[in-house]
Amino acid sequence: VMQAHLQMADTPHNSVISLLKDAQSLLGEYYEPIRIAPGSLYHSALLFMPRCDLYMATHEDAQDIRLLSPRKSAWTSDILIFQREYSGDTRPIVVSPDDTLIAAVEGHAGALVRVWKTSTGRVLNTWSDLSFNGDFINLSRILAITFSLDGRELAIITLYTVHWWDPYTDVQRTQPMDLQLPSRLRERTDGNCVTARIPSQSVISEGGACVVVGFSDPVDLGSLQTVDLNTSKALVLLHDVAVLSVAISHDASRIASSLDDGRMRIWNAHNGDLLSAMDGSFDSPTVALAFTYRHSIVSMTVDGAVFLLDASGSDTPLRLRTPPVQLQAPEQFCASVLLDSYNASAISASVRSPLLAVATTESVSIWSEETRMLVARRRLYTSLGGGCALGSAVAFMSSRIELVVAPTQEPMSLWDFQDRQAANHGPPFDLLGGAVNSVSFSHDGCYVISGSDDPDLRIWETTSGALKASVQTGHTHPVTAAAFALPDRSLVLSGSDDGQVMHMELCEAESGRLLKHLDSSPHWQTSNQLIAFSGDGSQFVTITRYMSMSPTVLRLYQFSTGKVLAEEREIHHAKFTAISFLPDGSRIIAVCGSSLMSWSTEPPLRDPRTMTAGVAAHWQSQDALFSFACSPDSARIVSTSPCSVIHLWDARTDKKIRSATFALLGDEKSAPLYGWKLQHVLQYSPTTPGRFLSCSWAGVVRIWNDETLAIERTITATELALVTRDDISLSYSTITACYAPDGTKIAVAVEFDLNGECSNSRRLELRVHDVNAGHTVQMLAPIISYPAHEDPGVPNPPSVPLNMSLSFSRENIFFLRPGQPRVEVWSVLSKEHIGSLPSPLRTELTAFAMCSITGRLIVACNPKSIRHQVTETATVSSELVARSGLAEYDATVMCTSIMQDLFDANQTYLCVWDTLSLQLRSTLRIGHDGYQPPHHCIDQASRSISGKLSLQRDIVPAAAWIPRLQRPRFILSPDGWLMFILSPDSWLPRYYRVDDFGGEDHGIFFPLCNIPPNRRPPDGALLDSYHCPWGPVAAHGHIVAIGSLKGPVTIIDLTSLMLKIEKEGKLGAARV
Amino acid sequence: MRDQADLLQRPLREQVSKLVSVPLGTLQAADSLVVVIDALDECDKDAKGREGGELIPLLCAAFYSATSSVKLLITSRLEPTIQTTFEEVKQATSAQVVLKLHDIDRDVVQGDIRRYLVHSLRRVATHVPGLQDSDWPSDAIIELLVERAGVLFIWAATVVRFVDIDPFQNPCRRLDQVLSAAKNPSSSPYWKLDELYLQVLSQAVDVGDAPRQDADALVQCLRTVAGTVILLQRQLPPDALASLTGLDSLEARSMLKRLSSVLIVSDDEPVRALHPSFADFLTDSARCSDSRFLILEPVHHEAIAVRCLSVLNEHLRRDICSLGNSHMLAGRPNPDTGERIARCIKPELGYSCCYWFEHLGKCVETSTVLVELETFARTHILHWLECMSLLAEMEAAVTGVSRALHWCQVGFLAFR
Repeated sequence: VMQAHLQMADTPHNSVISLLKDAQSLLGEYYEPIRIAPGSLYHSALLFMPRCDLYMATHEDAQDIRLLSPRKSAWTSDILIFQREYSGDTRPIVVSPDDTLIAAVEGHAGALVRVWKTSTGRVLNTWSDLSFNGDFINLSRILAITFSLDGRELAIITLYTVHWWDPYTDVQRTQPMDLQLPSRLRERTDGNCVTARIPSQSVISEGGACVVVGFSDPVDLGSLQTVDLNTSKALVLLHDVAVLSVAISHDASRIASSLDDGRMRIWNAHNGDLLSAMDGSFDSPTVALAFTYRHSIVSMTVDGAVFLLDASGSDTPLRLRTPPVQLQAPEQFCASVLLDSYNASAISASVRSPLLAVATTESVSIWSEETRMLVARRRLYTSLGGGCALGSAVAFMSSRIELVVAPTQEPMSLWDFQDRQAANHGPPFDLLGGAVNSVSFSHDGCYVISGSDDPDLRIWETTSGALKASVQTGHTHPVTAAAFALPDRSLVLSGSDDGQVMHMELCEAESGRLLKHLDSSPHWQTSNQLIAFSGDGSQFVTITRYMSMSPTVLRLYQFSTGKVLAEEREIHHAKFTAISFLPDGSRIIAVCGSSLMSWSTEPPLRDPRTMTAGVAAHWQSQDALFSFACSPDSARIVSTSPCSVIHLWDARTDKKIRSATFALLGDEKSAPLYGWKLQHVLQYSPTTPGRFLSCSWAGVVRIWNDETLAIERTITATELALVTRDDISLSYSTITACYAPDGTKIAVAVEFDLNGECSNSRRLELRVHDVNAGHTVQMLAPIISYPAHEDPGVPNPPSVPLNMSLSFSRENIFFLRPGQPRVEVWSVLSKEHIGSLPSPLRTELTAFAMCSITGRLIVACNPKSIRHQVTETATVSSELVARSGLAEYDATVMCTSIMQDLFDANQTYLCVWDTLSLQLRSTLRIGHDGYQPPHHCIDQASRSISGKLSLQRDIVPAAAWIPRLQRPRFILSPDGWLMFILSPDSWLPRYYRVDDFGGEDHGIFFPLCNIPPNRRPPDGALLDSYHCPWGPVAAHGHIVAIGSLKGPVTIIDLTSLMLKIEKEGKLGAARV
Repeated sequence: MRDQADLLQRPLREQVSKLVSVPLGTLQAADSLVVVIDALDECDKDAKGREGGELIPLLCAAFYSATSSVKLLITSRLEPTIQTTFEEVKQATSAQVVLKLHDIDRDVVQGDIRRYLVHSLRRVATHVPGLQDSDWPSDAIIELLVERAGVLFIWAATVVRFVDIDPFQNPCRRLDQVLSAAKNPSSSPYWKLDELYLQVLSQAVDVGDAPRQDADALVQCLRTVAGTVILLQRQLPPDALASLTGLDSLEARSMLKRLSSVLIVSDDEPVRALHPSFADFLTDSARCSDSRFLILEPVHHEAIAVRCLSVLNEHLRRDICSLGNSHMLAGRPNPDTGERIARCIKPELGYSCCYWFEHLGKCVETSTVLVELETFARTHILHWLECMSLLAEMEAAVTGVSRALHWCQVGFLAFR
């Protein structure tokens, strides 16, 4: 009955205790995110919580969330990870009497003093140098630190003085207290022998009552100095051999010292009487000593053996009843301990319980003093192999049972060793040094490959985070790119960047055997580069010329592997202005000067065929205006030349089929500059075969038949103009046109100067021409008039025609005149000017692009000053959208990255509208971190295009080519509704709803799992990675992997959050 | 203090330096100033258990080094610990004058008390029809009161509040009640005050001829309300206080009104005891001779803990402030958010969030509190953390979890 009663009573207790413990772990792991964003509790913390009691009790709050990867089974045993930089050792550690603060001396020689709060793990204060009244205090001379009894003062004890500091501020509390050194030492000081006195180890008693310093002295052969900090009374105990380590009991009544020859001494701390001398007890010298709270002595020898010595007797002299007992570890307790002045912190004994902890280079072990059995053990993953074996530091909390563990190369953490059986957890990862520069998924998404500052590539399992393999490469510089080359993961591709040249290597994944040193040309660093993707996205081609006089190089790449399929050097010395694949991907067409050049995409690239239009050389300076178009069936290419000639080429043979000269019409003839006569738009009809339109700046649209190269229809600005001929000066009109998606209509925008009274204004008219009916059927009104000279960048009459943007969706026509702050919208059905797309921006927009695949998104941007580059970039991006066959959101991603990279120096905005609802879906203000010259930006943009494109594709290794940039990264979720931004100054990825006004920050996002770079267990806590800049990203479907420059690789599942958002009922129906 | 918001969390030495020494330094030599520190005995105790043991030496040193003519007047009960402190200070600084009130001529003190009583009671009389023109209270009554007060000013003050409690009650009768109380002299220095408190409490639960159950219920009610007031970690306004007592709001407010001679109660201000001696009286079985009114701290803490937890269990829910998607608090100052948090998290809920574990830690373990705690742990921990984040009390949340955990583990072990 009693037992049953006990069991019944147990139940609520146990469940409450376990729930509260879960809450404690939750706070330890997610304190900062919860503090910043309470809503994240349900969105993310609950989502990634292990299957603990708290999760089971509350997961109904998140039952609509599906976690695709296996859920962690338990919390880590670390209650808390302390914020810490890897600046060396963290020894010794001291815990304040009320457990609220932890202080440590960090760095190999004690370079700084740091104080943490134990509630949050955050650094409260760091002192890299201390000075008092102008006197610099050399931190490397610190012997010991301790807290005062009320925890409000931190004593820093150097060889000659005790400094009392306020741990909360960097204010020194009082005058430093001089240690009353014994006269013998004073003599030494005066006699310039002080440098020879090396403090071997120093400890401080509980509450800071007494400090003990052991010296090895070439003259005295060792001495012990004890100083009572309350009375400054000093005591010197002499040894005939150098002192290796010292210890003082908690009540400051006894001192133990160990000597170089293996002997040990126990002293009365008050009067210096020798209580006991132990000779021959140990085989090797003792390097660390500590008293337990029962006055036993725990010691560790230089070869790592740990002994417990019962020295609790009260006899004088102390008679030890038993010889030292060696504490047994379950396995070979191999350790080598360096002789080090801070070894004292490798052993800690609890003040309240019979527990003692010993840290070696490889593990932390906790024994019970009573049973002498191992209570818990934890492996450490120090990455410093070989000769430099520094011990780690441990410290028990004062009133709690947890242990502070500070391994040399790992995060300092608060370890609850009792509850969670954490001994030997985590696989013994291979060492990994430095930043993770690149991450990439395998083709099936099951593995992640990472490249870091060392030459080894590492392959991890996505679900568990376990390290599967390491591949050694021959790189001498940090690996900045890593990817699987083939779907079967048999080959890996890696890249290394020495600042000048990108080296790429293709290796066998299993053996690491180098197959090919792929590319060592500096093509990522070039000053002039064009890039184009094939229609299916499987290949891309680059044209590179990185100095004005150097040869131009064309390379064809396999997109999935990054392999150069073919290369063509010295193809031309002139500047290339456009490049494209034929829609079927069979050929590459490029424009160089007045020539079209064409290559087969079958490697090796055959000699290029040049389709020279035969134009006078002086027009080459206008080559940017030269244009061409490919027919949808890839059979033909049509090109214009500066003269009134149009050429038709057979795309397969590159033979000119025919040319046609056409008559310039009135306004074209009278155009003031020759450039105005150029045909700047060529577009094949999307539906009617063999029809294409051309458009000259000077206001003439022609529709051609490509069989006969005959003009089927001519639409002049006069025909379009609403006002009479006399009122306008058509010489200066500019015109642009585009086909509707169904090919039945053509939208034409014309802008011209008004004569007469309104001579100072320009006027825009927009018409829709019905191709079948053969006349302009819709007159869209009203007309917008711009005051002349309103834009200093557009002189009147303009010397350069306006590059107006016009797009035709199913229902609407969108128009942007560069320099205007609005994208104007007309409805095709109602023939009315609907208005402008709602924009939060007051500044000018310069370009937009509509995705030709879905026709849903228009992206407009505000580049402020760098207008020229924008025009080019927008062309590139729409080209890419059109040709790479990506879904709509890719356009967003690309343009975002382009904008970000181009306009670093200015405040730049990106607006995304839905062309059906005409609603603004998002506005993002993009931050910057410094000015970069424009030409550099262009390079970055093209690099980003190649990198970002891969994000949404099934095959992703190109993501690895994203250079290591200290600036935000963007990821779009698979359905395009959420955008994630990683930035170096942010701890966690932030996400934005794309359809929300203002691009409001919606929260932070917790990773699915962390892959530990520093040989950390896979469930290693997250906190540490908060403080690392985010590095490269890769995506595979809805899973995104993020490397960080210092911390682990993080994997995020975008789907889970998506479901969450849907539940709130704001999306769903509106989905494409 | 505006420049350094955390000054009050700083070490005392720094506070005294910034708040006292620096301003004193700006005084002209000719300026003369008297600084009064009242009720030193109510000051926090230092590590050695001395009231203001760290503060007084610092203050004295600061004033001692001031150039101008500054006087420091400290009033206190004469606790032995305080005496020790002053002995030490005396050695360090110049001579000081200790004025022991009980050494002052009794007549002087009583003269003051007499003046106070006459003034206050006459003012009471002006509100009461029929008394305005009378000579109530008569000199005889005043003399009786003065004699009864002895040298305890708080006694006189409490009497005045007791008499003035209700405009519809006859002040004469209430004064008679005070005077007719049984004289029960004891050795305690506070016996007169205690007697008066007892009188006030008895009067508060006086229901005339009502059945015994009603009287008992009223006593229970009094104990709950008074116990809650004196044991709360932070004073709360009447409504919030009422919901933490678990009583009906009207009932609780009426009891607060009945106790208004010893409590300071107004509509929106936090309720507090008129004098700290009231709390001492209620919790000290040696002083509170009527066991009906005695507050047993662990029992009452348990009651408050249960109430706090049930307030939490009742009100906590996900997204309590309906902030929706706007999860970010830090770094995005939104003027609405603060106002909405204040509106959605009522004072009693805010109090319960921040202090349930404090009460839990001080209470005995009962099945009631365990049941509430389990409900809370099972359903509301996340909601509570959300609330704590909204209240910017995350550090308290960390403390709370570990405190509650400690309580559970120790309680459990003790049971075993």
